[in-house]
Amino acid sequence: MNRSVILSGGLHLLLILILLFSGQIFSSDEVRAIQIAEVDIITGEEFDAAQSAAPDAPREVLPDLTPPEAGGSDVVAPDAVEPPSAQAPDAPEAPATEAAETAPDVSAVRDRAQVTAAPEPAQPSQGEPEGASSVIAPVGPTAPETARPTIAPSLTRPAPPRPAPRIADTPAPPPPTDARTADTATPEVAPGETAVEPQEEKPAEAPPEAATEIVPEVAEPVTEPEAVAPLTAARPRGRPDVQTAEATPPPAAPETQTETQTAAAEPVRAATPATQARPAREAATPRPARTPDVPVGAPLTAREKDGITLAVKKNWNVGPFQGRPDFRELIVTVRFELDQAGNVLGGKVEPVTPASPSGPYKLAYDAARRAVLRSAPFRMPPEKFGRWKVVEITFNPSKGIGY
Amino acid sequence: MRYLFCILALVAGAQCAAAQEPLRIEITDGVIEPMPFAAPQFVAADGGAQEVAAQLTKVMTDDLVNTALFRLIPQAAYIGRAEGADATPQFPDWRAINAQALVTGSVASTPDGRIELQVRLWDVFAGGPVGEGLRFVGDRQSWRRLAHKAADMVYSRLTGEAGYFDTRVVFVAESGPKGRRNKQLAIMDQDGAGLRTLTQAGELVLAPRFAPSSQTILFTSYRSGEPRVYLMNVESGAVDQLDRLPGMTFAPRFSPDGRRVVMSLSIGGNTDVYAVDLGSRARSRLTDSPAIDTAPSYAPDGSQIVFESDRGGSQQLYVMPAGGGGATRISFGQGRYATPVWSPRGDLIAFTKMQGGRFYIGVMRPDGSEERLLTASFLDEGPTWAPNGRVLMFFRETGGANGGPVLMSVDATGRNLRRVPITLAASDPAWSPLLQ
Amino acid sequence: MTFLKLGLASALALGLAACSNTTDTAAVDPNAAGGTISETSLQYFNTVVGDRVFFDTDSSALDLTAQETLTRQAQWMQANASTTAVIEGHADERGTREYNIALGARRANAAYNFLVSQGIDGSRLRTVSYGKERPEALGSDDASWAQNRRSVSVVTGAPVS
Repeated sequence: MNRSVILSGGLHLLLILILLFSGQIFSSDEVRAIQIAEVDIITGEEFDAAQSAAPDAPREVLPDLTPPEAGGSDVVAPDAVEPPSAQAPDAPEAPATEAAETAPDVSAVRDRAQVTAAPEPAQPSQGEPEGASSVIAPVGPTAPETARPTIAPSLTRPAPPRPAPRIADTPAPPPPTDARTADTATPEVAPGETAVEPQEEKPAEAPPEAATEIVPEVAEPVTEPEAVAPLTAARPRGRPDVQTAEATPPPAAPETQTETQTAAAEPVRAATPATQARPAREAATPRPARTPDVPVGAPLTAREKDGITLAVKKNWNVGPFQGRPDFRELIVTVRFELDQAGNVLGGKVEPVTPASPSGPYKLAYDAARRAVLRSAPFRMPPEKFGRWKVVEITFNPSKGIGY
Repeated sequence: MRYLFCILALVAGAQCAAAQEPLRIEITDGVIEPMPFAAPQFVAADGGAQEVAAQLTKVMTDDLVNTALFRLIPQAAYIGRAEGADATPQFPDWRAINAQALVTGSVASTPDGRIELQVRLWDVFAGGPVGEGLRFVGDRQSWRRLAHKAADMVYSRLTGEAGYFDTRVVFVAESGPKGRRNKQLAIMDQDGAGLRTLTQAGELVLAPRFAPSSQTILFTSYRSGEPRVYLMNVESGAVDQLDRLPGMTFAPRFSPDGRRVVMSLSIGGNTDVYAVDLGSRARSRLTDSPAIDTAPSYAPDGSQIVFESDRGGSQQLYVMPAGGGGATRISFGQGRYATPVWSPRGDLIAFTKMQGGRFYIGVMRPDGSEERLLTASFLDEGPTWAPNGRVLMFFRETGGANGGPVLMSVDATGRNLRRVPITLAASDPAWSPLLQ
Repeated sequence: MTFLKLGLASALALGLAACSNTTDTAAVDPNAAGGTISETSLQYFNTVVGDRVFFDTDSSALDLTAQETLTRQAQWMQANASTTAVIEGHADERGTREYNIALGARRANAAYNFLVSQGIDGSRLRTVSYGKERPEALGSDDASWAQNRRSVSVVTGAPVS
């Protein structure tokens, strides 16, 4: 064998032996510090105490934020939504209402539940803080109690939003009960479901105001919507115009409802182009025949609206054209009418915006129309047929679909 | 008392007015699904058309289904019957099976021995036609083109994009061992049918490209012993050398008006971009740098050229005016960029990217922004655009001694990556414009 | 951990063992078994002189080994004045088609320039590039790719052996 091979082999062997038996070179891998998390031990009481920051506290504070004439319906929103628990806010309010006896200006803004509850404590609890407890008893068996379930939904209707609530010392005295019927007048306005909730309480106040003081109050609803930022760009308020119109011929009104409506129709149409952003739409859509026997019922709840929304969402297939670079701009609005069974009248789904879709907008309109027609018949509450007889849906892909 | 009446009137008026206010809903979420459609077999108007009617239906529906934008409801599920292109369908029958679109048609033989296809598209839920019906006439042996044209009609009306089914693809068919590949030019319909070779074995050919007329192709061949650019008439097979000046020429592409060819010329180890006028065969030099400048591609309006160059130290993409001049770099990501191809729509540039030992097919805007990678593998290379600028074809190679290339396609959105259904190993695809 | 050490050690040992082949044992013996390779033959050029030089990734620079080989090529071609050569430039598969043709052209040109600088008449030489079309090693690994990044001088006008 070659000497060089022997030498090389020997050195190799030496190297191997050194590596094998010297642990230092590899020792660092073997040391793994065990990580121990430093934790403090607390007792159960401490834990509960830590949780004691009360989320409920604002609820109790809310009744104190009694707004004056104009505002604060959103303040009473929690009360309105949960009729069963409305009794609780009533209780702390009851002592407050005693002081409110002196205040003649009604916050007609007050919650329905409070409307019904307030008269009771007002009587027995003259200067008695214990009136709180007595509130609950009379409220229970009284007639307004049974009406409460319908009242609460009425408070969920949207309406022109109010100015910011001002904190007043005096709570509102109860408005007349007949004002309640005016609640049904407020139309559905908000397109966005998330924004609906806070707004829905506000309209509860408008009709009672109209009932108590017609002339000055009428002006308010007209101006408020102007000041409020619409939910979407193309969402003018219809309601105030109607109120304006109705306010004008009060003397003639008692004769027939139809007369009033017809009279109201003209001023509405006149007022519409002035205040609304969609004169084209108003002119294009014929006023449906006013049938006084169309049940309107209370405003639709979000869940009831889901009867349309969820069905259409599922059937709105943008697959064939969602790859287009302009896809997110293809916002279309369609309008259709339903019969009592929820079928689309005549199978017609008309384009609203754009009024004559072409090019990629035609694709979007076709998909929108298809979505509606595939989803029919819709399951909607028949007693509120008037509210969903005519439907407008905006299909808005700008937030991306499926991502 | 009067006030009470006022109140009541207001209330009633308000109530009725409110009843006319529409329920307004905004929907911001939907589904992305292939559109289910029904395509009953085309009705054969005479015996001569019987056999081809079924085949026409299948070719059309395959085109649509392979885009992954449409889902065919099988004929077994149909309740309604097709009556041909003119009869109005019974829409409830088609709604019952949840078809959102319906294609009806009829096939007939013409007096001069050709085939005629009439086809109409229907919106089932709206209960009416989508656009006008169309009539296509063609030779018997080109019957497939009729089906592709019908598919183009359906596709364009439902997606808003131009179709791309009546097109062909020219490519290099490969066989043999990796070290000594046999490469031949081949042409086929975009769905893989009608495949035939254009050159003989034994000649090394590379990277064919279509002229705007689709009748001529450019390609690179080693038939003379070194790479040179040639023109071939696809129908006749006639081959012509592009120019006879010294140097190696390769990577040619047509200008959008078909009058010029831009390519690479390598002399003395330096490679630059040149243009050749097809009429005079005169050469003009467009880049002049010691760097490698190659793989040029015209913008669809003919005003600019995108190419790759390593003048900055590594392969990157540059855009310059079509007459040459100042080149602006547009690729800035990590890695190397190559084989740029301008989309026929002008809005995107597709490219091959190499980074970290992997290859990617990607797209970016002509200014280099919004780079998106669509595929990744050991080796993805050589994208080519479908004429509607929405689909890309490229080739993918696996590594190793037995690795070989296959043709693949993918949407410009990155969806629907699929293999082109041919059995050959193939590379260097080039997509034709829509055939006339 | 001990296994790791053992594994490392044995791998090291094997690796080092591979180095134990000394060049002494592989000496080319032109006079061994079967006859003489003529110094003017193609076989001599390809095997003794060395017909190819190799490059780094994306590079056309000639390292020392390459220059030595090319020097020997030039000397042989001086001695065999009737021969001509085609210098083929190649690239590995880790690049795109057009660029690799251009890169191969650069490599061939680098070899050409060197041979000319060694006194070979340029008219006896031609260059061509095959890009990545003609790999020598078929694997997809660094070793194969290193073999494919090459410039090969293909001589004509000499006897085969």
